[in-house]
Amino acid sequence: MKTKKRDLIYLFSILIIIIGLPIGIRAYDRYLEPEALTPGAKVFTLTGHAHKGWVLGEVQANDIFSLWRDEGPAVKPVIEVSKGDQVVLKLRSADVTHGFNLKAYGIYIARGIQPGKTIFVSFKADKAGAFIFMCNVFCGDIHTHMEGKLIVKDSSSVPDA
Amino acid sequence: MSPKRALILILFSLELAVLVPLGIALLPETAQTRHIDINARRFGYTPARIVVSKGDPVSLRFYSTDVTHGFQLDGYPVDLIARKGVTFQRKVRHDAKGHLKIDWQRISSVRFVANRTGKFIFRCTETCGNLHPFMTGELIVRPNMAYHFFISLSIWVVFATFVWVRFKSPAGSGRIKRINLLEKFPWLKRLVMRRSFQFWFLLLNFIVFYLFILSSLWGSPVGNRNIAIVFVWILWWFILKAILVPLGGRLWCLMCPLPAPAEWMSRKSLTAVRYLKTPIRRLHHRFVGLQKDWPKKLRNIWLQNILFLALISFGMILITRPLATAIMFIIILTGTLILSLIFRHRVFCLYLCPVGGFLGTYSMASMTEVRSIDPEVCIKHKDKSCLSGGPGGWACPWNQYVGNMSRNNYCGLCTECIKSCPKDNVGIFIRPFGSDKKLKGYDEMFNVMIMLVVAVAFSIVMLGPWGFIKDAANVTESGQVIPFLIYLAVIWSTALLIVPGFFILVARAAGRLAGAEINNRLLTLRLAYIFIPVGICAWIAFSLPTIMINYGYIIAVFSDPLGLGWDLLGTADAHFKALIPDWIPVIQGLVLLAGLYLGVSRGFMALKDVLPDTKSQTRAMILPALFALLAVNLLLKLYMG
Repeated sequence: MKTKKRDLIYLFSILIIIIGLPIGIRAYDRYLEPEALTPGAKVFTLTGHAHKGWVLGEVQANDIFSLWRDEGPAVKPVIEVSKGDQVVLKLRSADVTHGFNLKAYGIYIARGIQPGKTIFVSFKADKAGAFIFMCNVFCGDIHTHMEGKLIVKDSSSVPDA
Repeated sequence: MSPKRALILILFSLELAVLVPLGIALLPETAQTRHIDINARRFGYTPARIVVSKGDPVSLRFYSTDVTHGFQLDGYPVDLIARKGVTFQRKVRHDAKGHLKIDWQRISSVRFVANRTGKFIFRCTETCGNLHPFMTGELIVRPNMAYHFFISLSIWVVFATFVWVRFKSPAGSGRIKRINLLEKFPWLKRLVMRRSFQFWFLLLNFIVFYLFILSSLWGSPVGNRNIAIVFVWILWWFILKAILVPLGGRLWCLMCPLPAPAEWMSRKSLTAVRYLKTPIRRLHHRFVGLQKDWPKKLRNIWLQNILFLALISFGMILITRPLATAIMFIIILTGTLILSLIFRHRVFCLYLCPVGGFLGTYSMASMTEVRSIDPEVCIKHKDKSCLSGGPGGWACPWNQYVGNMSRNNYCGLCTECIKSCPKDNVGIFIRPFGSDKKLKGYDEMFNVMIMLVVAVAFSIVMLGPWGFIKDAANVTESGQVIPFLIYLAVIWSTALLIVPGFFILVARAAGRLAGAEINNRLLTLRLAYIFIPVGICAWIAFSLPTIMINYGYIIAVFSDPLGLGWDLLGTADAHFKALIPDWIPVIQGLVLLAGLYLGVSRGFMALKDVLPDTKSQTRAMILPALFALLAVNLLLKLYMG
C-alpha cells in the first residue's frame, strides 16, 4: 500500500533525526573550537562555578545538577604548560557572572564572564614559574577561594626525555 | 427593564466608575526628596516595594550583597549594575558608525523625578543564579490612578453585565452560531483528510522536544541561556495559555510529541491505518499490548488534579533547571510507553497528564470544536466508526463518541474521526468563546478552582517582589525545608480546601437566594463555569510579563540554543530589553476585566436551563459574581497596586 511505503520513509527520517541531531550539535560545537582559530595552541577550558570554583573542562547542565544545595570545597585546578607555548583559555560560567585575572601576564577581564557566553584569552607563556589566577567579580561565599594555578615549565632546564 | 433604561444605567455607572478615581487623584500632595538605599541579594531587593508620591525627586543608591545584580526600572531611564563594592550605570548609545555601544559608568547614586504615576517594576538584568528571571521589586508612584481606575471599572463590569443580561435575556435565547470550517475551506478539508496531517505536527514537535532534551543534558546549566527552559517555560507556556487554549482548546494534544512514540508503537504504524473487518472488543484494529480498560473508579480528572499540584509544588525548580525539565519529559515519555502496553486508548492523556486536566476544563471555553454535522446521521449509523475505527481512520484514541459529544473536555482534536467517518458527518466548527457550559463532576470543579489558586499563587511567587517566598519555593538551592513545607501547605490547602470550600458555600447561598427548587450539586457545577473564562484570562495576564520581559532570551536562544557561545543567526548578543514594560500592568488589567465580563456573562448562560426566570438567575448570580470580582481584584492588586 502507498501509505505503508510512505511510513517507512517517515520512520527512516525519524531515525535520522534521532541519530543526526546529537551528532550535528557535537560537530558544530567542535567546529567552533579554538584549535581551529589558533593552530598549535594549548587549549584549556575553565568554567566558573559559584560553589565549586574553577572547574577544568566543559560543565554541562547534567554535570552540575544537584538534588540538594552543594557547597565547596573549592577545587583549585592546576594548568601546566611549557615555556614558549601559545596558551588559549576558554572561559565560561556555569551560573553567575564571574571574572578572571592572571596578573603575571596582565590579563584582566573587565566586563566579567557572562553565563552562556565564552571568552577566549590567548597569550604566549614566555615567563616561567607558578602563577595564580582568580575570579575578580564577587560571586558568592567561596569567591575568595576561587583560584587556580598556572605552571609554566622552563623546557631548557627540564629537557624532554 | 426597557433597553433605554438599561443603557442609561450602564452609562451613568461608567461615568461614576471613571469619576471616583479621578477625584482621588486630584487630592493635593507635596513633593519631597526621597533618599532610597536598595540592597540586592539573590533573589530579591530590600526594600522590595518603594512608595513615593508624584513629583518627588528620588535619589537612589544601589548595592549588591552577593553576586553581580542589575536594576532596570520600567518607565524610567534607570539601568544600574552592582557588584559588591561598586555600582555602575549602563548607558546604551549608538557610536559614529551606528553600532550599538554599551558603556558602564561608575556612579554613587542616581537621581530622577517621579513624574509618572502607577506601578513600575524593577528587575535584575545580570544572570545571578537559577531564579534570576524572577528577581523583581516594585516602585509605586502615588496616586496610583490606573489601579484605582481598574478597581472601579471591575465593579462597573459586574454591575453593567447584570443590567445588560436582565434587559437582554428574554429576547436572546437563540442557538449559538457555529461555522463548519471544513465546509467553508475545502483546502483545509483536503489537508485534514490526509493520513499524514497529524504526523507532520508531531514530527516537528518531536524534533524540537528532542532538541530540548539534548540541550538540557549538554547545554548551559543556566536556565535563561538554554533553549529547554526559554522555549518551554517562556514561549510554549505563553502560546499554550494565550493562543492555543482560548482558540483551539486541546489543540496542543493534537501536536504533543510526548505520547506520540507510544501511540506509534501500539499502532505499529506512523500514519497508515491497519483495519480489521471483524472488530476485537469493539475496535476494528489490533493494537500491541494487553489492551486493558482503565479502572472505572479512576475515570475522572482527580489524578490529574493531584499530579498538577504535585508538579507545581516544585514549579520554581522545574522551570529554572534545564535538566529538571528534561527529566519531566522523559518521565512522561516512558510513562506513556509503559501505559500504552497495558491499557488501550490514551489513558495517560485522559487521566494522568498534569497539563491535560486543565486543558480539558479550559477547552470548554475555546472557540473550536469537533462535532457531528447532523446528529441524526450518527444515531442511524450502526457501526459508529469514530468510536470503533474505519478503513480511513483509527478508532478515537480518546474513547469519545462524536455522535453525542457535547463538550470539548476529552477530545484531543486528532482528526481521526473526520477520516474514519464513512458518512462524512464530522466537522471542525468555530463558535463563540465559552460555549460548553456544563461541568460534569466535582473533579472538574476542583480543577477550575485549583487553576485559579495556582494562577494567583504563581503571580505571588514568580511575579511578586517577595524574596523570602522565592527562597522557600527554591528549596533545593536555598535549603530552607521548613519554609518550603509551609509554602506547600498553603498552596495545597488553599487549592483543595479553602477556595473550593468557600465556593461551595457561596453556591449554596446562591441557591437559597435564587429561591427556586434546584439541586445543589447541579447549581454548584454550573456556577463553577464562571471561573473558566476568569481563570483563562488570569493565566494570560500571568504569562504576559514573562514573554514581554523575556522575549530577548528567545531571540538570543535562536542563535545559541544550547548556551554554548554559538551565534547561528547573529542574534546571540541581543541586548536585554523588555517590550513596553511600563504598560504591562494596564494590559494585564484589561485582560482581567475581559475575563471578569466573560465569566459573569457566560455564568448567566450556564444557568439558563436550570433556573426558571431572569429574576432567580440574577439572584443566584450575585454572590458568585462577587466571588469572581474578589478574585480579579486580588490579581489587580498584585499586578497594579
